[in-house]
Formats: sequence, structure tokens, C-alpha cells
Amino acid sequence: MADEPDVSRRNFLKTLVGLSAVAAVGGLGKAVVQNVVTPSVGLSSFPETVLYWVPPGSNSGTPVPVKASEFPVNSPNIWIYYYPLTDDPNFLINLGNSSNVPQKISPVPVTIDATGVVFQSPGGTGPNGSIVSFSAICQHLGCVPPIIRYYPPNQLSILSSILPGPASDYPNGVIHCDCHGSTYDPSKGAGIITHPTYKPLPNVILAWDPSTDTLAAKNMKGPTIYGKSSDLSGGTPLSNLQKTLMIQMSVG
Amino acid sequence: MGFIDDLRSTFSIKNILGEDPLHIDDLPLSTVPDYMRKKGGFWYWTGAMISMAFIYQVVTGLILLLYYNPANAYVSTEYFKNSVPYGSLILTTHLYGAYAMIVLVYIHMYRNYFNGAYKKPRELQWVTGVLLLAVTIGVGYFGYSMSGDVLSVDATDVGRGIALSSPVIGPFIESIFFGNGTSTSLFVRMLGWHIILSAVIGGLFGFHFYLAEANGLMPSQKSANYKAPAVEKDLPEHKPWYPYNLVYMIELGAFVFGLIILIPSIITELQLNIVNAVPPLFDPYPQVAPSSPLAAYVPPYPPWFLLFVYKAVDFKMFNAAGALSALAASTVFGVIPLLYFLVVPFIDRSNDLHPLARPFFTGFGILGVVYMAILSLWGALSPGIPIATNDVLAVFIPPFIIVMGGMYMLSKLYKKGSFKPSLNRIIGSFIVFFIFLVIAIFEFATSLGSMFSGITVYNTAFTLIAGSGMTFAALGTMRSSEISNLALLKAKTIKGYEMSKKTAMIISSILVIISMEILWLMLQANPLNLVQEEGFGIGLGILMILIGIEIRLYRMVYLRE
Ligand code: FES
Repeated sequence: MADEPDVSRRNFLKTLVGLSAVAAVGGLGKAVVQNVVTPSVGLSSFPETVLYWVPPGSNSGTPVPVKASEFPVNSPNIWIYYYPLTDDPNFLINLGNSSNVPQKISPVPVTIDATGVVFQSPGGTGPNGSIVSFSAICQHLGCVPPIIRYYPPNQLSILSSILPGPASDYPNGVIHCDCHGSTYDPSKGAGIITHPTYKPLPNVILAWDPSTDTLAAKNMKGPTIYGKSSDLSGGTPLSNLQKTLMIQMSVG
Repeated sequence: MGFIDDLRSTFSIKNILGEDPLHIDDLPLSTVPDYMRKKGGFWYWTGAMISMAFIYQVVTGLILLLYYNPANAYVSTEYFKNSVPYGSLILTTHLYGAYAMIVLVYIHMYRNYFNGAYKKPRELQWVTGVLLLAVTIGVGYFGYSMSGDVLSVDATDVGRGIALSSPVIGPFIESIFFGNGTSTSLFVRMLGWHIILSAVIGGLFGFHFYLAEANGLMPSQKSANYKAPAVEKDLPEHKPWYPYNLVYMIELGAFVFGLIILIPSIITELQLNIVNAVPPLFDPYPQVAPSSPLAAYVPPYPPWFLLFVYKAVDFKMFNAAGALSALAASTVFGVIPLLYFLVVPFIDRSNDLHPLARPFFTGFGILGVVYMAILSLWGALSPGIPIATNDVLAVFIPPFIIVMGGMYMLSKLYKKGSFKPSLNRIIGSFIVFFIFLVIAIFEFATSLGSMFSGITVYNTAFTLIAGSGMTFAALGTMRSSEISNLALLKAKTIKGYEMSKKTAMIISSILVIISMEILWLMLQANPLNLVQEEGFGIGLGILMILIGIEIRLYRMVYLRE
């Protein structure tokens, strides 16, 4: 330490080099991180898209717009369409009672157990106010149809050991996921009936045009679609925004 | 102060991890004489510079790998360039990093060739080095072909054709390197071989470096007394590897990385701001897609480092080989020189290191440089024009006579002892050589240019004279600068460090302030705007060079180098 001033001057010079190095590494690091993060693809706002289908029993096989009044009540088969991006399946369900009479579904507050946030469900639409639509990806760990599906009221006996109350508590059926047993109430904004899920299914807001009897998906409400950081990113936008074709999945 | 000192000693690396936790003192890296780290000493580190360029290529290449899609080569390349933050910067510096690596490989090779470094005990080191040159060019070729633009398609078509024309094994080579004919298969292969050969470079380099360390750095010819074996390994008077060499390596790295980022950023910036500022041969960006209507306007150039073979294919003399003409041309101008370099340590068995003591080999080396320069320029200026055999001979024979004759005479003088220039004469000759070099380059370029609009005896002769003069001057410049530097360093006395410490502080402080200013500017750049992005690159390159300068100052005042 005999050379004290020299040592500190030497350290000062080293510090100067270090500072420049920090500047360069900072700039470099920023560029590399920003570059390596995959640029997101998606949309800037929710598109509005008319739902098409090939009606059951159609001979021509040509897709036509879904007529809300013709859409089957308590359909035993699953109807899926993709919205808002091509990787996001959603159910379209016409809810009815055990004798397949469509039931009016009113908006209700739905609680997201995981966060405590409450949102208002959009309720049913169509001529009877009975058509609802939810994301078809289970909010627990992401199982997709047909593992997660709608059980109409007359199929609830299959789930009797799982449902917390008697079948009469669920007059319009339930959505149930076989992966780990989460159950959602389609009459109440896909709110939680049984865990392990702590989030309801995201609700799709539908628009029904009474003059043409067509249905269109136009927005989403509730939690974010499973596995995504935002509903509008992380997937390819729909190729034809005017028409979204539904697919039918039969349940074995 | 006492408190801070306490803190410092408690949290010093020494206290936490112990003395020398990285075992730097145990590294088996050889130490080197001081002159290798002094001014002009970078000539001894061309190998280190190549490995730095290689590291840059690996890192940027792996980033590109995250985005490259062989099923959609052109689209994914353009997407990376335009839509991924800093994509343009990474793509262009990866391209120019490859150019830098190839140029450095040639410099490294010729430097060691003219110094006789391939002689005992470094024969194997030399052989692996020549293999590394071949593999590096291979990696460059596959990388160049990956963008899927019209030039890459031309390049793969030519490569395919030459591969196919090889007798018997042709179809195998073609399918191994170029796939089954579908575009996806082609680009999957290009990507695969680009990476596989890069890994081969890594492996061969490991071996090459191990031999280099085991043999020790080749000392200056003078200290080896111009005789092989030139070995000067770990002498007691060498300064220890740490910190001297380590700090020097960091300084060199800052300069190399800085330039690899800076040069292409400036070129791209020019290209973006001035239409056609950069000839297509050096365009930092991919050209249009082969399906574009504009594709017909892009001259069908190969990558510049293969221009010499490309021109040779135009020589009519190879027509005699019929379907094999392209193969014959690339064999004569590509494979045979490579084989020559591979076996040269086993032909040139004398222990003379001085270039003038082995005129035949030195002459061959000079001819290699001259022919390659002429062929490349020729290919760039008159791509695809067939050349009659007479013209080929007219271009090739005069340099041969001039170089070989000149070397013979000089070496006679040298052997007689009458060519022993003094320091002042060397410095003087350096200046003369340098001026001569500049003039020769200019004359060579203009006369060669006029040759392509019509060959006359006059402009042919002029081109050849200027070309040989240019190479001779280049080598002379190189040698004399090296010799004069060594001599100058010896003559210098050490003084005035006390004064320059303060100066170093002040300069470094200013540089740090400039660095921060540049960083601040860089952070404003929009990473998706090509112009601003390349500006970011310019900033980053300058930042690194400033670090190099600061380390240089530090070495100067505190390591006394
Ligand atoms: S994924 Fe549906 S319950 Fe676990």
C-alpha cells in the first residue's frame, strides 16, 4: 500500500473500462433478448365472424350460415368453432331442459375463484335466449374436446358420483372435463361447479341477427383463454373473417 | 474510507471464492515474447482473430437458427430481417462475419506460408489449417445458399451441376449435399451441412489450437535466426499469461467484435440510404426471390470468395473435357491449389525460413495471390463470358515470368549477402512500397477494366504488369512494415509513463462519457426500423472499439506495454 494513490488511480481506470463494458453488454443484451423473444402474432381487436355449418342431414355438404332457430337443443354431438384465432376452439350450445325445450339463460355474475374477480356473463342469445358459447379448452390444465364436453340434463346420471348436488340442481346440464374432473355450469356463465379448476371457462359474446336468424361471435369475456397471455395473441388469425365454419364431433 | 475498505475486503472475490478460483495460473497456455503484444504485434494473432470471428458466427448463427424455416427459406429470412427486432443487424453481421472469417483465414494462411511456419515442427498444424480453410469455404457456400434468394438458387444450381458431373459418385454427392430435388429437402440439407461443417470447424480448430499451444507461437523470423525449427516456448523472460495475454486478448476481442459489427452496419446503412451504394456482390441483404419478376435483373454471381473458380469455368480450354468441363475447371483452380498447400510442408523440407531463401515456394505463394485476385476481379467484371485459351495464357503467363524471375534474382542477391537492408532503408522501402502499392492497385483496376471492353496488347500487358507490381508491393509493404516495427520497438526507450497516467485517465473518462452518450442514443433506436437498427449496430461497434482503446490505454500505463 506504499503506492496508495497509484492503486486507486489504477482501480479508477479499471472502473472506467468496466463502465464502458457495462454499456456495451447492456446494449448487446437488450438486442439479443428482444431478438430472441418470438415476435407475437395475432390481432389488435376482436373480429366479428358469422358462424357457418353444414347442417346435419344436408345433402349438398355446402356450408351455410347457422340458423339459430335450427340449431339442435341439447345436441348429443359437440359443435366447435375457432375464435378469435385459429387455435382457440369454442363450444356452441343450445341449452334446454330434460325434455329438450330451450331455456332462457340470463346474465349472472360469475366469480373467477383464482383471482376473486367477478364478471357478468353475457347470457343466452337466439330466438329463445338459450344459445351460449364458451372456450372449449379446460381452464385447469388445458384438455380439449371431446375430453371436455357438454352433458345434457338426461346424461347427468353418468356424472352422479361427481356432481356435488342432485341432477335437478343442473336443469340445463353441465360442462365436464374428464381429465381431472372439473365441472362448469353452462347456465351460469360456465362458473365453477367442481374443482380442480379455479377459473370459469371464458365466455364468447354472440350476436344474433333476428332478421336473418344468423349467429356471429364478436367478443370474449371472463378469464383469458387457457395457455395464452392474451386472447388476441399467440396464434394465427382466422383466414376468412366473414365466415367461421363449425365442426361437429360425435361423442362415442 | 476504512469502512469501505472493510466492505471491499469482506466481499472481495478472494474472500468468497479463494485465490484464483478460475485457475487462470494453471492454464497450460503458452507465454509469448513482449513484441507480440506491441504495436504491429497483431500479425502474430491472426489465428486468435479468426477464432473470435468464429465465435461471433456461432452465436449469431444459433440465434438465426431459432427463426430459420427450411420449408420457407426465403420468407423466413425476410421475416427475420424485417419483422424480428434487430433481425437485420444480426443477419447482416452474420454475413459479413463470415466474410471477415474467410478473409482472415486467407491472411493467416499466407502470412504463415511466407514465414515458412509450415516447417518443422508445425507440419500437422499447417495441414489442419489448410483443411480448416476448405471447410470454412464450404460452410460459407452452404450459408450463402440458405437465404433462398435468386443468388442462392444460382449458387446451388451450379454446385449441383458440378457435383452431378463427377463420374460415378456424382449422383451420391448430389443427393447427400442437395437432397432429393424438392425445395424443402434442399434447404434442410443446406441448413444441416452448414451446421455440421461448422461443428467440424470447431473440432478441427480444437486440434489446430492444441498443436499451436503445444508447439508454441512461432517467434519472429529474426529471433529464430531464419532457420526452422522456430520454437520459443515459455522462456523465463516471458511475462506471465495472466494478466498480460488475457488483457491483450480482451483488447483484441473488443476490436475484432467491434469491427465485425461496425463495418456491415455502416455498409447496410449506406445501402439503405443510397440506392445501389453497394455492388450486388457485397449486398448485405438477400436479393429478390427467384419467383420475382425482378430476378432476371440480378447478375448471377456466386459468393465473392468463389468468384475465382466461377471465372475459371468460363475458360474455353476446359471445353475439351466436355460434360466434365466445370468439374475440370474447379479441380484445376480449386482442388489442385488446395492439394499443393496440403503437401507443401512435405515438399519444402529445407530449414530456411526467410522468404528469399526459398524463392520457388515464395514465388508460388505470390502467384497464388495474384492469380486468385485476377480471376476474382475477372469474374466480377465479366461474369459468364467465355474466354479463349490464348487470352487465358496471356493473362497467366506474364505474372508467372515476372514473379518467378524476380524471386530468383532477389534470392540470388540475398544468398550472396548483398540484400541485407538496414533499418532506415527498410522504413524507407516501406513508404516506397506503400505508394507503389496504391498506384499499382489503381492502375491494375483501370487497365483490367479496359480489358473487358476490348482486349488489346497494350491493356493486357499493362494489367499484368500492374497486377504483379501490386502484389509485389503489397508483400513488400507487409514485410517492411513488420521488420521496421520490430526494429523500431527495439530502438525505443521506456519513458514518460508518469505523465501518460494522467492523460490516460482523462482520455478514458472522455471515452466513457462518449460511450454513455452512444448507449443513450442506441436505446432510442426502434429495433424494427431497418435504418435505426443499423444505427444501433454502428453504435454498438463503436462502443466495443472504445473499450478496446480504453484497455489499450490501461495496458500502456499499468502493464507498461
Ligand atoms: S384439464 Fe380439465 S380438469 Fe384438468
